[in-house]
Amino acid sequence: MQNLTTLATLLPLAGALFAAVWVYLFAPRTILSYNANSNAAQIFTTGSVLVAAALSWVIFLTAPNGETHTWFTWIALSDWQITFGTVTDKLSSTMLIVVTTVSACVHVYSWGYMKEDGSRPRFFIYLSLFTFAMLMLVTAPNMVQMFLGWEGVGVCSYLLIGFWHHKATANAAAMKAFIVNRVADAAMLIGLFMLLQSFGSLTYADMFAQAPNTHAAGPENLSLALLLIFIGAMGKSAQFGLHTWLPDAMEGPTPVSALIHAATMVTAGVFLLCRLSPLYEYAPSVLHIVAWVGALTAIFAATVGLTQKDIKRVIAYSTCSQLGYMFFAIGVSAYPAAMFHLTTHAFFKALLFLGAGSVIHGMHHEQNLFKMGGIKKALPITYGLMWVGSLALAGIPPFAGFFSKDLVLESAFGAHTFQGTAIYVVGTIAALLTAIYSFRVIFRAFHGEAPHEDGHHHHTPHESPWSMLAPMVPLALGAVAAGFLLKNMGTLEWWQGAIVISEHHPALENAHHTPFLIKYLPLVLAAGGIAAAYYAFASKAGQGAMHRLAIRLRPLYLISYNKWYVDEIYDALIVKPTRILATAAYIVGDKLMIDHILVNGSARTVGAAAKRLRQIQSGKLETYTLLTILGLVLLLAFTIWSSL
Amino acid sequence: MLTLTILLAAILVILLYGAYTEDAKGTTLLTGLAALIAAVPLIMQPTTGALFQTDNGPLLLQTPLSNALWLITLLLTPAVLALGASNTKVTAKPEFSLLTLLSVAGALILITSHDFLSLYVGLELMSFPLYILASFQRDNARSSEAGLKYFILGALASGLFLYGVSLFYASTGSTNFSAALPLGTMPAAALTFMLVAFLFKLSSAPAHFWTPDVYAGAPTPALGIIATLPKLAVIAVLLRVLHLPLIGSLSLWQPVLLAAATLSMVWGSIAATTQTELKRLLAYSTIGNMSFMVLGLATGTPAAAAGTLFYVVTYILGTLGLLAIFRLLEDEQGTGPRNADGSEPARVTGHPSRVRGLPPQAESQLSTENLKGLLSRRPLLTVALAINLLSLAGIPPLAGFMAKLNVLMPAVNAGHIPFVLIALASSIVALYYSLNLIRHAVFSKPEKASETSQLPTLNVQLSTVVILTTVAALILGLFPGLLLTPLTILTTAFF
Amino acid sequence: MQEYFPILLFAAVGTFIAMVMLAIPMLVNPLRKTGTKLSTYECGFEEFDSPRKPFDVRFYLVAILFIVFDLEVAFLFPWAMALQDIPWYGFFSMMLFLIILTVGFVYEWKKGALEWE
Repeated sequence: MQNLTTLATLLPLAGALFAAVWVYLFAPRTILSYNANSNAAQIFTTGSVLVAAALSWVIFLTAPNGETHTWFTWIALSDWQITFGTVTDKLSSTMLIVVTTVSACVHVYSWGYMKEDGSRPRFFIYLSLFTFAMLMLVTAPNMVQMFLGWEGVGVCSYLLIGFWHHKATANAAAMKAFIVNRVADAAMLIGLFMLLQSFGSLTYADMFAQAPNTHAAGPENLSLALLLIFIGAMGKSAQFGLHTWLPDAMEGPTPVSALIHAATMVTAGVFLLCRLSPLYEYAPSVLHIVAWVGALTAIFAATVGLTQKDIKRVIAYSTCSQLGYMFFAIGVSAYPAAMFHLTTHAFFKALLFLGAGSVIHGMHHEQNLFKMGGIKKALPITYGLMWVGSLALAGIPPFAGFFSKDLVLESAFGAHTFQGTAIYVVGTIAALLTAIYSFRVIFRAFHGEAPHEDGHHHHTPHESPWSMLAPMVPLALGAVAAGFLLKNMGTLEWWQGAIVISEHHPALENAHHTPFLIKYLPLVLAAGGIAAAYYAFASKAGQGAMHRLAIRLRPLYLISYNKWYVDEIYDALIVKPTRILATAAYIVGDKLMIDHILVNGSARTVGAAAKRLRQIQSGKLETYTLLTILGLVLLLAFTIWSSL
Repeated sequence: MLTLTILLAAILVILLYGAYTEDAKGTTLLTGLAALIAAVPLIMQPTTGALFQTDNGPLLLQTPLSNALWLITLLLTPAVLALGASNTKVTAKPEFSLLTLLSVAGALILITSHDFLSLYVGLELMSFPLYILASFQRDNARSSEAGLKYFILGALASGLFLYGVSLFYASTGSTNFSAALPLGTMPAAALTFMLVAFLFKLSSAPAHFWTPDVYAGAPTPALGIIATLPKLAVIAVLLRVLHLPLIGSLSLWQPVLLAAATLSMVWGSIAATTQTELKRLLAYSTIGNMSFMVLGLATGTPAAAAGTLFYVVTYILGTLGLLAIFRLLEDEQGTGPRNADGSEPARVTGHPSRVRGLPPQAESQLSTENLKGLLSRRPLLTVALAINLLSLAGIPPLAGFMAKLNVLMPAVNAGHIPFVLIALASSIVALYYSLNLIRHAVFSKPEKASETSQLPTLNVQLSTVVILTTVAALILGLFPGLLLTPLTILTTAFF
Repeated sequence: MQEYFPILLFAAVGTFIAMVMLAIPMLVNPLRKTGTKLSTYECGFEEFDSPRKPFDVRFYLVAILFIVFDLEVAFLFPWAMALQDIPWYGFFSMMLFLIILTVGFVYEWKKGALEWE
């Protein structure tokens, strides 16, 4: 079993390496065309990920029981050591199927989507490498290996967002993603060191076993460490404050958005907090913060999603919002609910992204919703698939989102605290907004009429090739059925000890006894939201009304359209002062102090000394002899003097 | 014993074979085979104990540690030979590998010697072939110059050593390591004379002056042995000398070695910065690296000794790798043994005093110029060059870093913090010239477009050496325990 | 160390006398450099050649080879005298030594070190 996990984890790496060796070392020496070699690379990577996906399902279905398997010891110190290996439990196997399934679909999808791209092999190698890093993150038995995967994911994300490196905006977005994540990772690293300090180990099993003692020894210390880890998770999972990179990351190719920014990388933070649930249960104050950050993100992203014009940005903000749901579920200790929502969300969000990619492909790389319209006939299959995804996202039964989102909201209510209830209210409003913005996309893009004022749209929209539509089918099946089939995921027992909930936190238990009204209020609101969206965006009258509404509520509209001005505030508060400080430091500190005095000064000293030494090294034997004897005499003087 | 017997018998056989033939390849093959066969008893049935017992104690003493060092020496011998076997006109004589093997035999005797007399025999048996190898390219003025300088300064060191031994004998009445040197002025003088002689062999200050001239002049294949195995043997025997007969004078030799280490660190790193000739640069790098090992010896704890031995192994590997790369560059550029047009280098005749006055660039020597544009010409070789250079400079995660760490940590624990700080500062300077070489290889374009665009034919021996040392630098850097743990066990047992 | 004192005294006195005897002529002799005086003394003949001319390296080779086998004989004498006390061990030790020398001899012969031309 563990060997299967190892295999599944390493296969994508093998595929990527093999493809890299093939394309960049071997292929240039063959007579095969570049195209043929690119196809070979595509087959290697996709094949390895497909096999990994199959293995993952085998692992998932054969009921893993938390065995760990050690590959090797990396660093062995006297009092602690870092080993590499895998842990196969419910949590990691769930993440395994999510990651590999979506990754396999995205690989296949990219065959069609990236067909005309000149550097296809590079794209596929990055994709597989990313998959490997993500798998290492989720199967790691200790936080060091997890962190390596965590950073690997970050690097691959950087490479993939900036894949079209000739685009200045893509480069900027890639850098932004990397830097924002670095800020979060810095906090996370400090948290890791604090945990190491408190526990003397970063292996999950050791840490969990010692958690009661450590908590008794210093609850503040533990809480602070966990808060810092959470900040790291906020960065990866794009929570409010550190979310700014996610919408910009849509500059990357759409399959990347589907894989990284919907299903896998952004869920790493949620996964990590669930993985550390035995620790977080000892830090209720941190959980409060998690809950509020999650709720804030959920409502914030939902409001912003309402007004964005770029189809991918809408979906990106919806991702942000859904991640907020997961975090506030964690905040009320309903980790299973969070993981459940993570799983279902991965399917329907990847589906939505791939659908959006199909639309963009069909519209010849047009992403602006306002330049679309009435393409329902041209892209019937995409249209249907988008419906499935959006219904799942809005939480309409029997689609997957309904089960998981309801469980999340019920858990919040089930906490029976002021906070829980408040979060329930926020989440329910966000659910309404979710329904509106997700169907806004459908009605704007597929219904109505094509805008015909601009002449430079010569191309007629067309349906995507089968290689792009086929991989969306399994995702659509997941979006339809995953919620019902995996309903047990929402219970604590299902996780077989991989998740621990303290008995003082009964939110998840109480979720099953939610009053009828509370239980179905989100559903009613979502249905209403869809209806409202139909009126507002599909009917002529509604569109006019919306236009007037936007003018009347112009300040609100602007806040939403400009994403609450977070970027601008950061720019004014952090980026500009940092720039000024950096310029000052550059001129005074770097140029003058370091370059001129320290670096060049010491270099000049060394250079002058070297000139002297060179004169001594004249090549004259007699000089050498003399100097050797001189050294001998000096040493003799010392030794004889000290033994007198 | 069996190992030595096999080796000496092989030397006789190869000498006879070499008398009747000019077959350099066959001799090299035989020599390498002999070294490997000699290593077999060490693996299958290592023996320990005294050899050649005298009234005062044994002449040779085999210990687990000495057996391990023998094994390392013998296993590295084929790599050393591969440098010579890379088919140049210079070394295409049976004598080349024969002399190498003689030197190795001397090194083995040195490693096990337990008496100053056997030590001296081993030392000279090891050194004489090196003098010949340094001047192996007889029609080249720089090579002859290198051999002569090496020989004369080596003779000076031998004289100092013998004088030290005679003072030792006068103090103790024995030349065996089982005698303990008493305190007093004469023993102090004995110790100092001997140490300076050892420092000469290690090319550490204040007796390091020969190194740049010999390295620059000696043919590159000969450097493969001059710069590598003798260092290991001398370190090993010095460890014995310091901790057996001289242990009572620890308060004397420790400051002497620390002073020597500090001086060579500073000298080696600073003097290297202005060098453009690659082999001369390697000489200064050697001086700098040896100073770390001297520091490790001066620390005098089991951990430091293990670190020092680990260091010397990584140093040998790194140097071998660099030399193999230099050989490949020489073949490619036609420098070194041959001139750029493939002709023989100009013969220099006349009185030796005129030889000294030759301008150093009279012949085409490998310099940083030859590295320019290497990345575009031979990318993999550039990677190997960078890894070996950075390993020698001590960059993690390569072997050289672990070596420096394991020498400096015990020194810190022993309280030699000022010396460690100097060591760190000098290794930064050393990093400068290593990176400078990499800069030339990666970023600079050759000034004149190279007219020979076709890849040179694959040189199997040299490529193997380069690959092995590069991989070893990575493996020993990531998993230093593979070598360090056994060495620690052995040195702890020795102390 | 007491018993060595007379030797030290002897060495000191000897050095002193030698120095004095060298010093006296250097101080008192008249120095007139003439061509005849500076020329090399060759048993009454005119000098044929410059004495500073480098020797042929082959002379050194022969000399070195001679020394090796000369020393071999120097070893053989005491060995022969002591052979009664060290019967077989001593015999085979010397045989080994001689074999090694012989191999070296064969080598130099084959390499032409004994040929003058």
